[in-house]
Amino acid sequence: MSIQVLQSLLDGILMGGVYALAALGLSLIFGVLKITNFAHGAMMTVGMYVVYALASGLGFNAYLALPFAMILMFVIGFLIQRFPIHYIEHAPAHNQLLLTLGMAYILENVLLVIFTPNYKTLTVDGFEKALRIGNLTVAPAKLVAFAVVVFVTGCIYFILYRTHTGNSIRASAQNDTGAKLMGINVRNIRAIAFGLGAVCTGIAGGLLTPIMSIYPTLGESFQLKCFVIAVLGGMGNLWGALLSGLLIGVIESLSSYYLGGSWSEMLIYGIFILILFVRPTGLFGRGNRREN
Amino acid sequence: MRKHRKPIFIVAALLLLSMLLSGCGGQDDTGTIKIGSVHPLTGSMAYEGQAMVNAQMIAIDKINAEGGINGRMLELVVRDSLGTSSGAANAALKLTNSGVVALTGTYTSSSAQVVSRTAEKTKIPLVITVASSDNLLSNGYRYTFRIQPSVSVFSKNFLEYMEYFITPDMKTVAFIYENSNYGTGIADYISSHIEEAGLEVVGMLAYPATTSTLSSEVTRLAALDPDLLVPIGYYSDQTLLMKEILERGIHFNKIVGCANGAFSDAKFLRTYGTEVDGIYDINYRYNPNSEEAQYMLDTYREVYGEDIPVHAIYGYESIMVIADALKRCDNPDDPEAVRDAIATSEITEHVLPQGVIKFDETGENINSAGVLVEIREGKHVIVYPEEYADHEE
Repeated sequence: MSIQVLQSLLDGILMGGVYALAALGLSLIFGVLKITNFAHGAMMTVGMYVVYALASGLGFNAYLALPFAMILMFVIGFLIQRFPIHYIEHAPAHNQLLLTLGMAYILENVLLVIFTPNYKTLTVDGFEKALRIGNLTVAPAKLVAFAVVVFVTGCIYFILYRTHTGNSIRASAQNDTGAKLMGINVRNIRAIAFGLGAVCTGIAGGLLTPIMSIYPTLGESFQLKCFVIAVLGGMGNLWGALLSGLLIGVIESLSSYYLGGSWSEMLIYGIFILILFVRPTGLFGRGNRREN
Repeated sequence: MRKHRKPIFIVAALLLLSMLLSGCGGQDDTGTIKIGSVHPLTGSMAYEGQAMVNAQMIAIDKINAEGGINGRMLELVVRDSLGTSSGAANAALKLTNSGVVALTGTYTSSSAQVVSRTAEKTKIPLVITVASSDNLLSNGYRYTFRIQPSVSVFSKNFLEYMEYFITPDMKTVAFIYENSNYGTGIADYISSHIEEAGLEVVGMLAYPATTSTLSSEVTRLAALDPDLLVPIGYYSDQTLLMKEILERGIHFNKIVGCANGAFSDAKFLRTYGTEVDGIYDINYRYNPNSEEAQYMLDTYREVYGEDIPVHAIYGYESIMVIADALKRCDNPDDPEAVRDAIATSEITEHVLPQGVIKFDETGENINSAGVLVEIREGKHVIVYPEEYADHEE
């Protein structure tokens, strides 16, 4: 394998990690609330701007800003579930779609008003030069992003599988009524799940702030990618979302290398359509597609 | 269930309100002469669109401060194109119904296409601020005019100016460009003519402008190692490209952009400073010898707190061209008369690095041209053509 291919593979895995975290949020929200969140991309942009605002406004290092961003994103997610989402949980799918889409516009335009449409760039001191490992180069921002992805994912898993709240989240994902009968406050649990989803998505966005120039509608371009990843992994299947995030990152990178960026998009969405036809429950096991 | 309804109404009301708010403006106000402006104010091109409108406002204020059009004030009626052709069509239609005597717009070629059709139907002249597609003026439309250099003008400029930055030891060239009409148009044109200059094209790398990473492309460029790299794209994707190149410390003999959305932008320099020294770009620019241009730069900085993005210069000039026509025509309330006056424009005093602004029968500015800009010590310096070169160091 030539060094260039190895380099592309590495870049793909690192970027794929960020995609995976963003898609994990989407999948988590779908798994528990059974809602396809079209405001997902916008929530990601909110995460980008939260980190930007903390770093440039209050002089935080971009990465020290992340824990604060996490808390803030959780609160935002919690409130979004409490106020609009809660009321449409049993509404027809098209109403849910329109509401979340409307929320996306509201979030984007709030960002537009606060931050103006200007491109914002955040530079992190000491991160200007790539690290060299033999003949390979790694951008420090991407390496740190990947490490944070691993850490945040670990935390999410810990919460989901090792805590009482996590058990309750999984219980209400499996059977809403059953969970209620067991005395779980499902309303709260849903808000917490949405908050955790928002954390994943927002942090994925925040990790991109030092990598890209950000603007209020940037999240839109990630939204579709997140859908592809979440569906590929099986909607609601968290491990699936992670693995397919990495997979999409690598496919994107290698196809950009061999075929060019235009083809890479075509390939990714081509795979998406194929999956919908051939294996709508996703690549990895049975997704959480139970009718409710 | 009933009590669950209310919040939905509130959300719906909020949505409705935001729609209404975004559609405000354009009340009839006798006395002023109205000019319509269709630019993206929301969506992914909001920054570019807003800058364009900002520059237009500076021109409007200048003309009004100098007594307006024979005593009558100018008014800019702005509508958001949302960055889409359907949005632009809607905006243009509303403007034509609100009594504007001329339209300006639109930043993207697809929007310009539909607005020029509206202009033709309603017989209200359109002065294109920025939209570079070659075929915009090939429909035989009477009411559409364009000041800015088209894709082929930029490409021809590139080939003409090449003698300045090409050295005999350069043998290979690679292009990296965004894959829409603009990037592809320029890359195709230059690459099909550059071999005449003795350069071999070793790579044509197209990417979608919304991409979140260009790592693989940069890996390939590093492997191709061309003597000349020609990047063509918008601000965010081109900064992504340069970031990757700088981070990895990859060196190319020369990097020369063509109508590059980042290289000629002041923000790009603020981010990278002297790291990007030696990069060239063929692009829009103001004429450094023009006093009016200096006024425009200073005022923009004063009012909006940042340097004017180069494309917005054409927003400023579009208003100046229309104002000039309004001053010359007998009836500034008659769009037909305004159209005829624009068609016979001959503007010598302007902010652009070109000769007289004058339109041919298709509506194209016959002297439109870009200039070659070099980044020196973290500053933009025009180096070619000679008559517009910056000499202050």
